[in-house]
Amino acid sequence: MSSSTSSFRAELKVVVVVLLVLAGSEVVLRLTEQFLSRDLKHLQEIPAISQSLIAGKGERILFLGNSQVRAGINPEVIEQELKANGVAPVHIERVFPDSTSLPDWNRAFKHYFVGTSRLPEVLVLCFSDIALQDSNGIDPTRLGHYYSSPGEMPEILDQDVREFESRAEFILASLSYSFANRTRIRTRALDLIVPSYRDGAQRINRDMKRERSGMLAKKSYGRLSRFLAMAKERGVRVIVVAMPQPVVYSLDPEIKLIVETAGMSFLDCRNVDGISPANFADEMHLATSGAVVYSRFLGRALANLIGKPETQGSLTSDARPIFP
Amino acid sequence: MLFNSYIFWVFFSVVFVLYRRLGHRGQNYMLLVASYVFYAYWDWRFLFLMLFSTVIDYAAAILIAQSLSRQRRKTFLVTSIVIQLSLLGLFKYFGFFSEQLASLFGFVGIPVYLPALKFLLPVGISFYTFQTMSYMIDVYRDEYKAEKNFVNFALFVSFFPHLVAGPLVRATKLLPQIATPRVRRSDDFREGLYYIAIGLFKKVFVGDNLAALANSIFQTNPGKLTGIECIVGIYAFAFQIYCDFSGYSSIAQGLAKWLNIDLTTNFNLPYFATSPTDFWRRWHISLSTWFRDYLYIPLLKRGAQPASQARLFVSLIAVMLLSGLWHGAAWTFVLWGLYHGLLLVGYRLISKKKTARAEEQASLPLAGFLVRIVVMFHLVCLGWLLFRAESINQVGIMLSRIVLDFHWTPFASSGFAMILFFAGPLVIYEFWLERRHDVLSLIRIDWRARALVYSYCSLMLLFFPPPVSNVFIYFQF
Repeated sequence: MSSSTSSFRAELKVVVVVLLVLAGSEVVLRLTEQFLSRDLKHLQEIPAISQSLIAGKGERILFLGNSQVRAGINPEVIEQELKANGVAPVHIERVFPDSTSLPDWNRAFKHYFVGTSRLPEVLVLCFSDIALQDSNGIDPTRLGHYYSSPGEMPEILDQDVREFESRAEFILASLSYSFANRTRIRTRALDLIVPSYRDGAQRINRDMKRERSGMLAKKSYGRLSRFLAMAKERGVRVIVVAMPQPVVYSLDPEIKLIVETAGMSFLDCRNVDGISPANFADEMHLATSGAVVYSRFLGRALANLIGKPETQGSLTSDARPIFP
Repeated sequence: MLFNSYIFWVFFSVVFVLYRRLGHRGQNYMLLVASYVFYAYWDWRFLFLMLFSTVIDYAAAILIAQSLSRQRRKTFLVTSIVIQLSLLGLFKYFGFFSEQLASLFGFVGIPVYLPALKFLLPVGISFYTFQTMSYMIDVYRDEYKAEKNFVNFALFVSFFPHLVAGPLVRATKLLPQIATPRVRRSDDFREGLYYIAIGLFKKVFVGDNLAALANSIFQTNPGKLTGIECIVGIYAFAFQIYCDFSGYSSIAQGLAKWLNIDLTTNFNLPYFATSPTDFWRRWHISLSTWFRDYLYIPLLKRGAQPASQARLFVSLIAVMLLSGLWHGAAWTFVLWGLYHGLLLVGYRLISKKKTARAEEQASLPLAGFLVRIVVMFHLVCLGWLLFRAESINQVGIMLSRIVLDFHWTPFASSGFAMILFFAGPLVIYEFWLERRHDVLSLIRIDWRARALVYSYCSLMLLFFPPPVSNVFIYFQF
């Protein structure tokens, strides 16, 4: 055996140990994934949510959005308001993966609801700011790990994950729990180690977002149009809701136009009477008290819409139809 | 095609497999094609620019070698250098100098409208221009024979591991390795693995993670920062730029090692420097030695021998000013160069009588050694403020915040803890290397220790991806 071969083999021992350590981390993650975050627990519950939705009695309503839905939509209050306004019985479910926008909602809805034929009658799509724009990217690791099956892969690679780097991440995440959850582990570890990490990270995120927003391409909503068309084709009524934030953001009028053109409904709930910046827990999410006030308002507005034919339902914050 | 991208590793796997199957000539042809593919992946249009530079220098070097007349040799050399520097100047400096000239005329009341040409900077142009210039000068000085094989020469210019961000490798070191069949050496895999593992750790785990923190602070209105937050930003940038650049160089060395080619070591634990002179012996070594051999020494040799102290100091400052300008077309870079020039001159003045030789440094007591390191690190950090700042105004405001508003904030705590978490282990590791006086110590100790270090690096790379993927900072130079 030459010295070159023996040195190579000796170093292979090092490589094997590293691979074993990585394999060990994969095993640990497979066993402990659900304890990593509230969001992960929720993602794992989505199949059960879709099962519960289809088993529900009455008008099946699904709220789809990000953590704003978790914090701001109180299903019990909404149900009470709907009943009080003559819409009953209803069955409400919520799906709210963290830090997501339309690309994620589109895939999650297709994977868990369309793909399993567990469709709601009404889909309430809750968004804020620029979450419906085409410029929003999708996290290929979350997509690979949670919202895809081998059968969906060709469509995903064609429509959502088109760059080589993203495709590599998508495939790695579909195979590996540790790879799929690495950003969660990062956040959780730094949250434990670094003092005031959340505040610092939020500040850095804000700066990065500002930097990215300067580079954003022209506003477009092709994905929103396709999503609405897909829902319409399957007989799902979509109500698009602009969620409130402590600082009121500007809303592109094109969104309302696209929603109405698709024969769906639009609710502008950025300003709601009785909700002030004091009702928010942070820069994005309603606090519990704010969620109750907001859910009452939204319940009433939804009751107004759900009883009506699909094309007549665009409401502003004071719940008056724009096009009566 | 970044070294920390998946596409690069697919590319390199193909190159590596082909390389192992080919003979020497085939390897060179394949490496040349691979290097052009690698470069064209950034922007194929600039491939023609590099090819043009290659042809010009290949022909000029042969003409120099064939010419017996000193005057003709000089003419060919000057022609080649003028062409190369004109291309560099056009792409990198034209916008800056035309703006400055217009401002100057405007200042004296003469409005001048110069063409505001803004070019996309070809990736790595500063690196390959300086590398081919050194080749031309070596041939002119009869220190190296002109390469007659075009493929060998083209591969010397474009060899992909170090093409876009160095290290600058002299023809005397790289061309013989290209021209003669490579030998598989027993330690190449081990050393290559070491360089790549440490390089990726530095670039991705430390550099990119701290980039988000540094960018956030430097992009904030400095008037809204406290002094401590400014310091956090400067420290974060100090580790970002070091880990980004030395990480890239390290990966380049590792890749070349796996192809049985040695590149120049570009960094030697620079933050353990004990003096300005020592720092420049450790930081971007391939550029520092380039400036020393092709600019500083020739400047000193001109005129009376030995050079007067004034000439020495002026030469030092001129070289550092140019070094600053090499890094970018902005006044902040020029100031950074001037600052380091002044540091070198100042150090020469105070250390005139007791020259700090390496042996003396090695015999320093630990406390004295540490104090020197800390002082030098902060002097370097002051330079990084000039280097990173968007404007001279920002430098002024940040310095005034440091002096006038030195109060602690939660963001400062968070920032310091992040620097400690991301850069702390590297500092401890490099301190160990420094005390052993051997940057390759890790590959000379028991394999289990190495397995432990690599496992740590792999876990950190896996579980601490940077918030955004950053390109290597030095691509823009």
